[in-house]
Amino acid sequence: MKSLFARVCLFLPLLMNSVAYAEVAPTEERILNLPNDEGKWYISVVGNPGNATYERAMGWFNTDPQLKDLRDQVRFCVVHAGTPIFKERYESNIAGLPTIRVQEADGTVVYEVHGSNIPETADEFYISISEKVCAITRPLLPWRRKMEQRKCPSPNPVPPDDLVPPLDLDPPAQPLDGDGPPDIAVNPGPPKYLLVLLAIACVVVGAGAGVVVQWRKTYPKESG
Amino acid sequence: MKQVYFVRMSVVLYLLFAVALCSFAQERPIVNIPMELRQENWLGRVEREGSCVWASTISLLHWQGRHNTAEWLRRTRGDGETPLSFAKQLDEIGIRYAHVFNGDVAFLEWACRTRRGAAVTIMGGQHMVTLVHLDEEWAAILNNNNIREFIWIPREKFITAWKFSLVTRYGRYSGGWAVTPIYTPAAPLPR
Repeated sequence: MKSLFARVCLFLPLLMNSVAYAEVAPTEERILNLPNDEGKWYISVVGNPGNATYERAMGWFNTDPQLKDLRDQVRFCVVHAGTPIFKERYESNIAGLPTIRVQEADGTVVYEVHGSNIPETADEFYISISEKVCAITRPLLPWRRKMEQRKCPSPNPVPPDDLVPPLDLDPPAQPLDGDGPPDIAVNPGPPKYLLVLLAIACVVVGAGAGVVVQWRKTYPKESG
Repeated sequence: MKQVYFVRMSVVLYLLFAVALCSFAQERPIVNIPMELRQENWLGRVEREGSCVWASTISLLHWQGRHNTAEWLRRTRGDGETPLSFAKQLDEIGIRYAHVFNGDVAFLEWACRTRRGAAVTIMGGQHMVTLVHLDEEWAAILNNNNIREFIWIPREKFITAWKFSLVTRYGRYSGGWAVTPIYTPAAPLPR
């Protein structure tokens, strides 16, 4: 009996130690798959809440499908004038309020518009952004980009729904998937029938010029 | 006369070069939290302990645009925390975060690479500060006991200090503890 008691006494501290150690070393150390989103671009909307132009632009990002999609692909920063972030990071380098700025991950400004220069409609705004963005990110034609998307599904996990904070004070958190510049639709450009007409005109003009040149060679003008 | 001209031209060229270099340099520290958004440490209402874990996290929440959440935490939380008690509360509140307490340096590199920063333990686990920069040579921290300036430390020195900064109640080191909210960091300065 004494021997059993001695054994229990011997193992009790070890047991307590392992329990205590388990307190700081649970099985799951990372509760999220860390998003590798350092290449994401930034869109900053800077302005005074209540300003009509500012509210209109913010509304576009919440309602227009194209701009909403764009917003979810970038790090979207809403900055109110007068806040510490505004004073230290925007006040000295913006031309007016409200300002909408698109930046690459390293801070390079791709597109910036402010005040009355902000387009009147969401479509115009989207096209003006897409022209600037596509000038940098259009190594692939749209049809090819979509094809590659089909072949290469995104490996990033979809975050569980329960990650949205219950505090309704701050705006909803942005999605964590994706990286790099936004996949933005290319500006449609001139209508296709114009291109067809231009091609036909080129063929006709070229053929006509060829005939004229050959005609002159075959039947040269007799001088004198 | 020619010499003076040459010196003047050299100075102008040097200044132009310096300006160009500055415009291409990365912002240092990466997580450049504005002074007004840096949270100072405070004594908790219940245990009368320092609230360095909360203070470090609140500064990061401000940097990541969660100002209301940060202010709410400042009003309602405080006192010291362990990794598990802190994680439990973040889960209850519903704050999106990631953490390690095994001294995984890759976590710190990820946190700074994605411009989010991290709250990290130092001083043998007695204190938590905000890691605002980590590159191949240097680390920078924001100490919530003195929020006026960032403290620059050689990388290896900082990592060693961090790894020996989580002590269990039986005196064993368990690797560094780091935690960060995962939201949208402030945009970089324009280039």
